[in-house]
Formats: sequence, structure tokens, C-alpha cells
Amino acid sequence: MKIRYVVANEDVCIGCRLCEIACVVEHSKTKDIVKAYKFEEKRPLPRSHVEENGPVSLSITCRHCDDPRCVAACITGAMRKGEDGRVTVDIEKCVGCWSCVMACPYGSVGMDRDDRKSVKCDLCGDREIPACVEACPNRALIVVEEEAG
Amino acid sequence: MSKTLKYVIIGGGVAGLGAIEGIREVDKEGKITLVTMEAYPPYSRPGISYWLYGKLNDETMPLRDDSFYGGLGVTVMTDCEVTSIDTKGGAIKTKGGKDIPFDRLLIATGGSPILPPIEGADGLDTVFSFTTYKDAREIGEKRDKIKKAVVVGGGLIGLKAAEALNNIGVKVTVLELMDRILSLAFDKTAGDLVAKSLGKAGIEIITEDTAQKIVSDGDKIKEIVLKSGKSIEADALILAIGVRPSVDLAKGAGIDVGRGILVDEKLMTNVKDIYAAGDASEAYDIIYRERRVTPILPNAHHQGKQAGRNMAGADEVYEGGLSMNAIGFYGLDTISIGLVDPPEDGGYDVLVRLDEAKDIYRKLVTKEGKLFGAVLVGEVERAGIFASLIRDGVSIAGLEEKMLSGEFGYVHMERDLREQRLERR
Repeated sequence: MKIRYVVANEDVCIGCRLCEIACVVEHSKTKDIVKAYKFEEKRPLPRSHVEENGPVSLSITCRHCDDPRCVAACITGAMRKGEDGRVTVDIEKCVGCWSCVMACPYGSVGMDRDDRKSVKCDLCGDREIPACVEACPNRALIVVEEEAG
Repeated sequence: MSKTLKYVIIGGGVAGLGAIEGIREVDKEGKITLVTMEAYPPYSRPGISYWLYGKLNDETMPLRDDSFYGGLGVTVMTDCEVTSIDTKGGAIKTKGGKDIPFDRLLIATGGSPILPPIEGADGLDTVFSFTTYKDAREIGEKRDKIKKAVVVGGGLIGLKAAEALNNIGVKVTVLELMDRILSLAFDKTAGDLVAKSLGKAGIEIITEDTAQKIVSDGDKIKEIVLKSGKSIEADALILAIGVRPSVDLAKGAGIDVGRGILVDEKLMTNVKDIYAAGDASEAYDIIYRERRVTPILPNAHHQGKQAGRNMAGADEVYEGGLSMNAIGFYGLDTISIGLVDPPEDGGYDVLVRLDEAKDIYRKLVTKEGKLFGAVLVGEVERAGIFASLIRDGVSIAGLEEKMLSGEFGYVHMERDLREQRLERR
């Protein structure tokens, strides 16, 4: 089975956070940047997260691990590894205990504090190229494809 | 594999579920039977508090859909109590007389609640424990009769029970024998912050006291008399002082037992082909560097999975357990990982940042430049980075200040370390 995930090349990341914006728009109801930011009552949180420290910046997202610690730690079975290799969260089952946040070695599970739901990269559903990768102006984000295990 | 192996798993908790997943990663053909004395296939055990106040329901409580078991060719036997294990004959005996043969057995019997003797409790139907779906359902069925409740035990289970009851309109008092709540998983400062948050939500906490006697009319509870002599009006009593590993089956079969069922580095007991995992087991712990009962869900799932893989022939060493707890009460998020209250003579350094006005607290326990424990209250983002640094024994020298601040991340590490740590695992 081939697995996919997104990584950043920090040498060319300029910390513009367009990846975060593209992620928000992709996961919004309207998928329209203006409507998502101006009119949607509940705007989604970005699934990728840009870390920044002086000149160093990079976006860090889920590695969709072979043996995901977030899945093992999930108290309700909301966090699952699918047959396609993606690790996703079923928000109906998520109770916001943050056990996945405690378990993820990459710090890649986000917290929607208002709704008390975990948010994480789902590789943008059917999209061929994830929205963050497409939006990156300096090609710092790349999709890696490799054999699982 | 020439022969189709028969796997039997005793226990319908998350360790049993992990074992199914682990076995199937290695062996797609073997016959798997999971036996549970409960009425349900594996469900969210910590979920019972959420179920009680409606955040989870009967549809969202199961850890996996029913189709999961069928899809993997697993037989789940509910309401089935195992009475003994015949280690020589390779079979378990169940109540009702049916024997189930096995080639590989996993004992994942979990823990059972410690029920202190309380004078006057006999025959009353509003004295509960709080560890199973059944317990939660029984409380749910009687919720109209319960206006005031006393919870004995200020640990994770007791406090989650208190929160759930408070959320459904019950006036709750928690009794804790120690001088602080959450004494096992957190330190005093974190416990006090949680106590403050629970107090604001209307839950009363009484420390250094416990329940001694129930005063009732023989049918209905009137009040709970405490050790101090004080008494509290109540309709229900919840006993949540803790759980102990369920080891009787293993003991009866001549399997080595300490506090829990003793397992080797491959999670096998002293009897060949019989494994143990989860809250019932005593397996290697990374921090203590010895076998230890660490009854937390991530360990149970992971142990179950590793045991399952090894039962199917993977022959891998268990990476070791690491105690960690994530728990939130009324918007106050708290996470503890590893050693949070180090022994004073252990040579540990303790670094702390406390902002009481904002309910933010961070504590690092270090030794020789390595992280051994962390407590995060209020700001818990990216806590898993801390856990991974503890687990892998990575030097954090020079990073301490950033780790105490809320912004710590990979960008604060040296590039080589960052790149190495960000590799997909």
C-alpha cells in the first residue's frame, strides 16, 4: 500500500502561512476564500501549522504514521487509520479529551477548543494535490509517496 | 503458515481490540475469538462519563463498528464469563460449561474497582462503582431519583463521574483521602488548579476525608457520614477510589503474578503462548526501568497490539510503557506525561512556570539534560512532542526555557535534531 503525506522544505519556506489559509478554505463550507473568511459562522481551523522562530519557519502536518500513536491513545475510537493509509478523526465520536494531542510526536493534531474537537490533516479528501501544497508560493511543501511499513 | 492458528482473547477492552488489530497485521488467516463478560463488544470505557451526560450515545460508544469484527473474521462472544484457563490442554472454560480451545491466548482482563466496605451499604440500589457501561447505565436509569451525590475518590475516574453528574444537574461532593485530588497522575499545583475549576463549576471537593457510613431508611440513602464525623445529605454514593488488576484467572492457572500479570519483553507470561496486556498486566515501563502496572488507555491499546503481533509470530520487543494522562474539566485542559513528582533524592531538576491568574502551569522534570516528566495545564498544544522526547531519551539541554513557554515547537531545536525527529515513523 502506498501512503502519502506532506512535508516542508524549510530552506524555501518563507513563513507566509498561505498553506494554513488554503487549508481553512478547503475545509470550509463554501470553499471560497472571501465567503469562508467573511461570512461563515464557524470557520474551520487549519490542519497544518506553521512553526516560526526568527528566520526558521516550516509547516508541520500529519505523517499518517503506519502505527499511529494518536489512534492508540484515542479513548473513543474517533481517531482511525483507514485502509487507504490516511489517519482521520470522526468528529461525531471525538469528545475533545486531547489524548491524541498528547500522543502525536509531531505536534500535528490541532485543537478546536470551542467545539472541543480534534482537527487534523485528512489529505484533502479526493483532491489529487492537497490544498496547502498547491497554495505554497515557493514550492516548500511537497507530497511524499512511499510504501507503508 | 501451515496450520491455521486459534487465537483467543479474554477481555473486551482496548487491549483486546488492539490485539485483534495486531494479530491481523501479521496473520490474515488465523481464527480469532474475543470473549467478554460484558454485554457489549469493545466500547469506550473512559467514554462512560461522556455517555452519562449525552456527549456520547449508544451509537458512538463502540470503539469500532460492528462490521469491523466481521470484516476481520473475528468472533465476539459477549456475556461470556471465563471461569478457568487450562494451560496444558490449551483451552479456556466458560460459565455454562463450553470450552474454547486456543493455540495462543491473550489475557486482557483489565482492572476491577476497589470497593471499600461502607457501613450500611447493603441492599441499597444507589451505591455505584463507575468503570463500566453497565455502571453508567444504572446511574442513568436512576437519574430522576438522584439530586445529590457523593463521589468517593478524587482520581481521574471519580472526577469524571463528578463532572458528568454535575452536568446532568446533580449536586456533587467529592471526597478524597489525600490532601489533594489527582494525586496519582498530577502534582499538587495541577491538582489545585483542577480543583479550583471544578469548584467554579459547582462541584464541592473535600480532602483528607472519606465516607464511612451510609444513613438510610433501608431503601433510600439519606446522608453519608464521613470519617471526620461530618455528614452530607445525598441520594447516591459513587465509589471510585481506584481499580486493581484482575489477575485471578491468571493466578488460578499458575501464571506468575505480581501486582499485575507478569510479562516478559515480548509480553508473554511465564507460560508459553499465553500473553497478557492492558490494565491487568505488569510490563516494562520506560521511566521506572522495571515492570510496572500502568493502567492507562494508550498503553493498553499499544500493548494489546504488540502482544497480538507477537502471538502471530512477529517476535518483537515491546517498547515499554509510559504513563500519560490527558483530561479536561470545564475548559481547563491538563496533560501529564511520565514522572511528575520525582523523588527528592533522585537527582532530578524541576522547572516550573505558573500563571495562576490565567490557569496556566508548566512543569518539566529533567535529569542529566533529559526530560523525564512534564505537566501541562492550560496550554497543552503539541504535548506529544514532550512525550516523544521522554520516550526516546533525547537531550533537551538548552531547550528548557522554550519548553516552559507555550510556544515550544520543532523550530526551537537544532536543525539536525529537528530533521531527525520529523522523519516519518
